[in-house]
Amino acid sequence: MRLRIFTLSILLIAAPALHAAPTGEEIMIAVSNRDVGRDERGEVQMVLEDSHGEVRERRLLRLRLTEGTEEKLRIQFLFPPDVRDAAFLLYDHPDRDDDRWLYLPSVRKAKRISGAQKYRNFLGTDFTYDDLGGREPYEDTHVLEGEAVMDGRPVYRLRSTPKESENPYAYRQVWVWKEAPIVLKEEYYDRHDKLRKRMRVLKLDRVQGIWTVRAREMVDVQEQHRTALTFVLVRYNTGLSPDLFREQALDRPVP
Amino acid sequence: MRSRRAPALLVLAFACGVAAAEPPVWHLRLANETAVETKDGEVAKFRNLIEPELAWDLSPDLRLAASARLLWDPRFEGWENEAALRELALDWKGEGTAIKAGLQQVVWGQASGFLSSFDVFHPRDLREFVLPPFDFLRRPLWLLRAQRGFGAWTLEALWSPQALMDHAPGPGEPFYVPPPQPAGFVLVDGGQGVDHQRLGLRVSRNFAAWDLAFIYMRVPRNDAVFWRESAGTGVLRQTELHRAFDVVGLSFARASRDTVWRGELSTYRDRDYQTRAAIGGVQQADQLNAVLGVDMTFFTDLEVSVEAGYRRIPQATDEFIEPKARTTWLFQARQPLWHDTVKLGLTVIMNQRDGDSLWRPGLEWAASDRLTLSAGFDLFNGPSTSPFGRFADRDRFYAGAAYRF
Repeated sequence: MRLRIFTLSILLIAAPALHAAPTGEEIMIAVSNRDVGRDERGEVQMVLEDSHGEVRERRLLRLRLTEGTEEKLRIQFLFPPDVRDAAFLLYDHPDRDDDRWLYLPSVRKAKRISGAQKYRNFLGTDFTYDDLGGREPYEDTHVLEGEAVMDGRPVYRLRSTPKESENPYAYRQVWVWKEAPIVLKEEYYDRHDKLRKRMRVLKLDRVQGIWTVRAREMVDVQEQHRTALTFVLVRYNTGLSPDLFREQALDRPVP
Repeated sequence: MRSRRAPALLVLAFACGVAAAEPPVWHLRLANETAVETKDGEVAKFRNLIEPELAWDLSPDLRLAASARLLWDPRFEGWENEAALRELALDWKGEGTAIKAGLQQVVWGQASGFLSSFDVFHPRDLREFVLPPFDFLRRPLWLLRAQRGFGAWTLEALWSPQALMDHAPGPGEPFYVPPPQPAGFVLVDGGQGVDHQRLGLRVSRNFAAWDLAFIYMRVPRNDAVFWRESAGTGVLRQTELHRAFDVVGLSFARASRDTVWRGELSTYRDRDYQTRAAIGGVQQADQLNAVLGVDMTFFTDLEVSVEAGYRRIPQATDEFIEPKARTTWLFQARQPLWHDTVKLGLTVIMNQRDGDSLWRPGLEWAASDRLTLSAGFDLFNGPSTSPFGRFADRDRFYAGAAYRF
């Protein structure tokens, strides 16, 4: 796997010089396989703003663990109070449907939830569960459409078309930074070819030598609704225990 | 006596950890729930709640969790006041092992059904007994809970020394159901026969898209059966029994694209059942239980659940008070709207044998991040002798408000 990441990274870096651009699929595989350490812990602050200017907040703790080719994500809700200590667990498998569980303190048990839930809004935000992780490169057809410069950064511009028919979006326009394979901007087009949502990275930073998104926003253009995400207290390779990523451990909030 | 030692041990352990503690985190929930009977406008419930909660990380591996409930309801005869501790437990987590000791609630199984034998209820309001969340009516137990991972497997054990049974409504209270009494006899109180210990073991693992769990429990029957013996001519001595029986079962859940299938299979061994016999009146029998449910998602976020519960007592005769077989259907639908600020819901529960049902349409509005308002109806149908039909003339409208700090 490491060799594959290294090869793809070399390919991405060297491609312009060789005048042989990588394919869309190679770029998205590099995005997916970017080395972000064994584990990660951080808090996410969300601000939701509707078309009337009404603002709501969400806060959550995000834990990630990479085990071989499998990635595990645990999200623990901190605010608002009615969802406090609820937890979401995702096993992101590269070769089959992901596993998802939701723990609700009111029923005191973790419940397996279906893959169909990945298209619904996460905690009422403009991000879906799918947007927050778990989408594999092979689930879309990626076509490199060109190159551009965005906010001073050279980027590849791709069109990613979902292979599954039930996906609510017809395709996405994706802008990937050339220097480090990170998606800086995404536009989601609905089945009527109308722009539905736009995601933009607002702040990028190096944390422990790893390029890290510190702020991004998603705007639902049709509903005039916006969600801004700020990532704070992000740390990599903190030695997170795999025990935290057991379904049976979701009823124990992480301090 | 044993149950009085448990808090003392907790206090000792707590005192040891205080020195290294982070500041405690407090939360508070204030709520009012009001219900009005649609037939005559009588206020059936005016429940006011104060629920403080505390989480205190004494160290990175040790947490003290506590919560309490203060209740005042001037309209509910028999449950006007309550000041109860709902949780007081120390939760320790080591490498691969976790132990939680103290007053707590534990829920096992894929449905609120046959594998929930650690559920001891406070069913003073039988209209709400069947409704989720059960959290409100469940009586927490002093428990020791241990969990250990073995590779992909997880082993859990529960043990409780506490003699705590369902707190059923008493004579004169709104939902009092008198126990079956033989005609022509005078009954004298023979006290209680209670098995104290509760034990539970669960082995579980996630396997591909499956969640599997094997469960064994030895628990007393939470609701009462009455043993009667002769105490003279025309006099029967009646003893309230809560004797232990064995539960063996498995639960599963499987995700399959847009649906999740879940179920339980279990058997109760040598459980006490009430019979109509004047002398004796209790007979042991086995019971087979099955639950099959499916959770589906339509149109991105319309969640629909259908669940069938079946139970059978093969040795049951006409003398048994409980029917030989019973099938219950549960239907739930939930539609979030406007970025989850509004949730529409419908719950329907039907007993196939009695033809009775409960319909519960409801609406919940998160007016702000801290204030939630809710409203809906409890509608009952069926013959007057059936579990839901007996409330057929007590349909009600309910409304609630909850503010969280």
